[in-house]
Amino acid sequence: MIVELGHFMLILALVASLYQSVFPMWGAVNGDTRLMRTAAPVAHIIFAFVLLSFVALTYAYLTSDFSVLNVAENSHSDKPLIYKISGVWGNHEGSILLWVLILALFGSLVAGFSGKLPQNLKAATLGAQGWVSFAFLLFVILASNPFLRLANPPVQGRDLNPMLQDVGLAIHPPLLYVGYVGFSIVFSFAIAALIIGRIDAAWARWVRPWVLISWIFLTLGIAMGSYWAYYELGWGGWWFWDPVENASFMPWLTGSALLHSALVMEKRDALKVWTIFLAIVTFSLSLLGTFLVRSGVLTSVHAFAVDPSRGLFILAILMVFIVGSFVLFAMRAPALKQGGLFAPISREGALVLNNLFLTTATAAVFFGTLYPLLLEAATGEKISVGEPFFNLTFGPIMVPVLLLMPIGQLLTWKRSDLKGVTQRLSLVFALACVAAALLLWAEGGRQVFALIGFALAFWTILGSFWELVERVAPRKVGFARAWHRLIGLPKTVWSTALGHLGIGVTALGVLCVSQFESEKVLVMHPGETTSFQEYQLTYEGFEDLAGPNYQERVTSYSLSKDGEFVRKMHPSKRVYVASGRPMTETDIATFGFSQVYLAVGDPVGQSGLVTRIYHKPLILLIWIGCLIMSAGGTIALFDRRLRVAAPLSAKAHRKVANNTGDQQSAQS
Amino acid sequence: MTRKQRRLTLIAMAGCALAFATGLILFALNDQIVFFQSPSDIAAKAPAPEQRIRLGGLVESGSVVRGQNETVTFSVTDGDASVNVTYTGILPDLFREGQGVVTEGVVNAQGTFVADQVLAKHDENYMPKEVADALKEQGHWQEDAQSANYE
Amino acid sequence: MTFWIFVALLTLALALAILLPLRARRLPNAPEQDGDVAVFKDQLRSLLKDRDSGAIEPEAAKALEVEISRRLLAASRASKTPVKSPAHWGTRIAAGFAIVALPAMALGLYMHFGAPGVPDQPLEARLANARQNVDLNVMVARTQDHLRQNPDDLRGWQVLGPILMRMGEFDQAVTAYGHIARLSGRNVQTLTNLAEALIFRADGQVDETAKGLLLEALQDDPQAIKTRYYLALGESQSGDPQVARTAWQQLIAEAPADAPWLPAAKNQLARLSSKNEKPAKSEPQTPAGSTADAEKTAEHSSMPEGELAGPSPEDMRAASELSAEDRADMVSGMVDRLRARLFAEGGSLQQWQMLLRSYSVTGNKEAAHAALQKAKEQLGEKSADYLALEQAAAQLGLTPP
Repeated sequence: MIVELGHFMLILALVASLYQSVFPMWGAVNGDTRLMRTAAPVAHIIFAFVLLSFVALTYAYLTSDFSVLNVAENSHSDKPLIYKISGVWGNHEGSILLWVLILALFGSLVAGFSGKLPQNLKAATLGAQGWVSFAFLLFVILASNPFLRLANPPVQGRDLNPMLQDVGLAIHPPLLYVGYVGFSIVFSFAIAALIIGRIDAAWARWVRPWVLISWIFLTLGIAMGSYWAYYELGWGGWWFWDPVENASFMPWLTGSALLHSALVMEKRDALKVWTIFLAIVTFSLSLLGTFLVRSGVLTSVHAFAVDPSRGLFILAILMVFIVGSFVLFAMRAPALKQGGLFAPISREGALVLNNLFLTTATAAVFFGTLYPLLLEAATGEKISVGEPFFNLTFGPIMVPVLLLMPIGQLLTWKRSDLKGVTQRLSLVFALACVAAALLLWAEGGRQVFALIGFALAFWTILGSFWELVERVAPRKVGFARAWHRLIGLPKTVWSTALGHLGIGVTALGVLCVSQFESEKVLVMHPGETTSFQEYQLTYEGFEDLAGPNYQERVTSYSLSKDGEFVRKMHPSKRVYVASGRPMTETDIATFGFSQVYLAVGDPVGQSGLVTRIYHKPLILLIWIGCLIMSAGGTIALFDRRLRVAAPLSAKAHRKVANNTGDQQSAQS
Repeated sequence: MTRKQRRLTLIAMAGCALAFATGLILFALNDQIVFFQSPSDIAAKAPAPEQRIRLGGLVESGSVVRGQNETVTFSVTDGDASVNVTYTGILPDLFREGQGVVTEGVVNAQGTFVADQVLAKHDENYMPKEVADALKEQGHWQEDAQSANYE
Repeated sequence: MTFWIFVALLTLALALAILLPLRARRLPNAPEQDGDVAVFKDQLRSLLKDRDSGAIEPEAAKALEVEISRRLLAASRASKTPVKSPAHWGTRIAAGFAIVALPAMALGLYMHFGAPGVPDQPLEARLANARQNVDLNVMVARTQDHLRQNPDDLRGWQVLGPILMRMGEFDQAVTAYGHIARLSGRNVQTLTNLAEALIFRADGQVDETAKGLLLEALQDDPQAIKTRYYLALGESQSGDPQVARTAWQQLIAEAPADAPWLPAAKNQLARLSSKNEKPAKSEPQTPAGSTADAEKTAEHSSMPEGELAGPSPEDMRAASELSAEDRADMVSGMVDRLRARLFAEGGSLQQWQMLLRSYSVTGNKEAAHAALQKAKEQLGEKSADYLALEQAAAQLGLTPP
């Protein structure tokens, strides 16, 4: 009964979202308050239905109810509990249900936490969210229904792909989806603004928390996915420019642009049309990602089982939303009132440049991802666009972005003095060059490009905090006072600094790994030792063990550094019993931010074993940078003035620090 | 600066960025893309010695030879022609005889394909799209085999 | 029924979520404070605060104040747009939609895509169910369906044969044992089993066909006790009493003292001796005959040669009268006996396979695992037999230990 109730509630959610798509929007356009007031409760109840429905499916997984087709195809009664739960979204149907769940969650959050939003904007936003919910619920029920039943349930399920039996699956998709789907709310806000025909600084202020939340989760989701791929695939790579990775990366790029342009819109009442445009583009790219992952049109390691009818369905949704929203945009955008003026050299100008480069980078990634499709459709020729292409296009476009970041941080709003700013940053520039040269010298690199890259990364890292240093001015006021000032700095200054620091740290990690990583593949026999950089590795042997649902051959290596024993390493090969699928488990030893990565391959001869060793210097910086970025975003989120209820209470006012922007333009 | 000038500056900047990006993309496309070929394509016309290609097909049954070191040789076939491949490194988990595979590398002077990347798919029901297409062209594709399902 | 109550309540909840706000009498206060106005007022306030605290130069503050005030003024002018009074027909359509269209659509879609009335079937409960009250007939029917498609599935027949014997379906049991004999070769075991099924079908009469089979079996193994037992029985019924007596005597002489069938054999011999002149067939020794006979023959159900020892007439008679549950118990008793023997004495690959298959049919996974573990010990972990068994287990969906 629980399963069937889950199915029924999903259908109720569909019809409720049909209501949501029509009536509150109608109310918003015609000023009917009664209709508008139904939007919030309906948003809540849609969320409740989808949540309970998701719980019902989870229940079916937990109890191994193989009368549910989806469970029979993707679960197994011997699977450990956590993978029974995460297995719910480890397949197409379940993951799209999770997608819809998060969609409904955001609808409910907007309904619940935006009491001060003008009623028509709120109703129209929830209405637009209702369109998205309706489209995807329809897709779930018609084309990927997880609640279909089997008349003759099998005694055992087919088990989850071993690749997915990992904590990574428990965390990565939910994070990523919160990011992806969060942008749907931003999209809905944009559509609502276009339909109501009014967009103002307050709109930007209401939207920014949602952009921030989505951006934070997307950042974490992408980072988590990348780390998961890194340790699980056994190839030692952390980013493959795989179409599906690109699909999550493109919304991240435009989302980052949106974050900045919304700031300009809020502070300076400028870039309105552009912000709306970015909101639409970001969500369209999220939809495109969903389409790419699920239609199988592109070869990808992430592809779900291919089903053309599903692909067509999502393509239809994609076309309706993208074409529809851009037509609406074309019709209404010219009517939007233009906002504040600014000189090219100003913080706005820098942010415009940032947006420009981020969108150009998105375009390059977009092109590289879809070009094989286009070419095949046009000429029938099959090509693959891989890492070299993206390194050559995306890399150079990022150079000006990194270069501009510290400068932009110091520019003032409206008009500014570039010469003064560059003078203030000359010390940072010198330090960055020295640091890069030192690093290259220590690691023995020779390339000029590497030197430039490292200098750029250090420039970003040091520059991100320069604003703080200048504002606090420890040498001028003494350290005690400086500390006091540091604490009292507005949250926006901190969040900007951390966000940019994160980018710099990630860039540094990427450069270090690509410049200094090394790899060794060899056949090892028990007792044999190989040395590798400053490490020595001895193969000791293996033993066969049984896991809960797999057989495992666990190898044993002992790792020494400079002749001193560090730890044992146990990479292994598993064979999952139910599916008979093999799976390689790597073992990674961490030294500070660097890692030694060990994977085993096939046995050779009597006792030999193919062993693959990587040394990954400073690789952890890549993900630590992402964490720092997210921390920056989180601080921005907790800035009181960004809370959803825009107007501040009198009490909160006393706590609020200076309005950074206005203060700076005053100083200039 | 007037609004008009400001707008012109913006457009000029955007134009520069776009031109820069387009240039990069065209340059990269010229140089960095890899063509997908089937064993029949290679048999018909051997690619230039230094040209990177992606070779896709099925791993020929009985062709996998693991030497005494970390190098593996096998043949990739599309039913009509087959190409010998050597690869040094760890083969992916789902690499099996009779299964679809995509390899990337160059053809050496002896006509052997030296791969530096071997991809087999995560899901064994999943056939790399290029391989499926290549096999379809050769008439070796069986829809049924790919859609094993309950019921 | 509970299900439909829930369905009604959920639908009601959705309708109320729409209807309540629609029907509420009190409309909210006049339009909320306008967004832009609030933002600019906020900016202005913090600017004044900054000026007072000396963070901004007074002139700069003055200039900013002017700019913000100008925006504030523009914003508050823009916000004074007239508010239309809501039209009642919109509300009515929405209410109608909530009351009529929503439930209708939801139910329609659910009836089309859903499976109303299909209960949850958690694996645990299903397995427990299968153990406790499996519908033997359904199970057998399903197996037979499967075998009709795959008549060469030896293990299927091997499982089915004994169960059919238990159920008293001797006709079908004959077919099953016939297939077994065809598939695994005509040896002493298969032929004897087939003969046994034939004998049971003929109400205990050892007819010519059965006799022929038994004789053929004896060529394979002249010492086979079960074969000789049935042959002796046949001689007692229709053959030369002298030959029969010799046969019984030999059997009894060779039998270990604790052989379970010994009393039955002695009884037969005694009967032959006391009714010397009377031919045995005038008083047919049907296995399902008198209570005394039943007792005797019941013993032979644990005859050492049996793969899965055939059912005793007692069992058979009981089986025809028993409910499905009890029959299942009987089957599991049979399986238990096989298990006990294999665990104690070990057995062939086929016997282990049969045990595993029985467990997988009844869904008793734990027992299957235990059996697999035991087989590992008995057969040796690295033996070909064990590996084959493990493979078979995997096919049955069982995880090797």
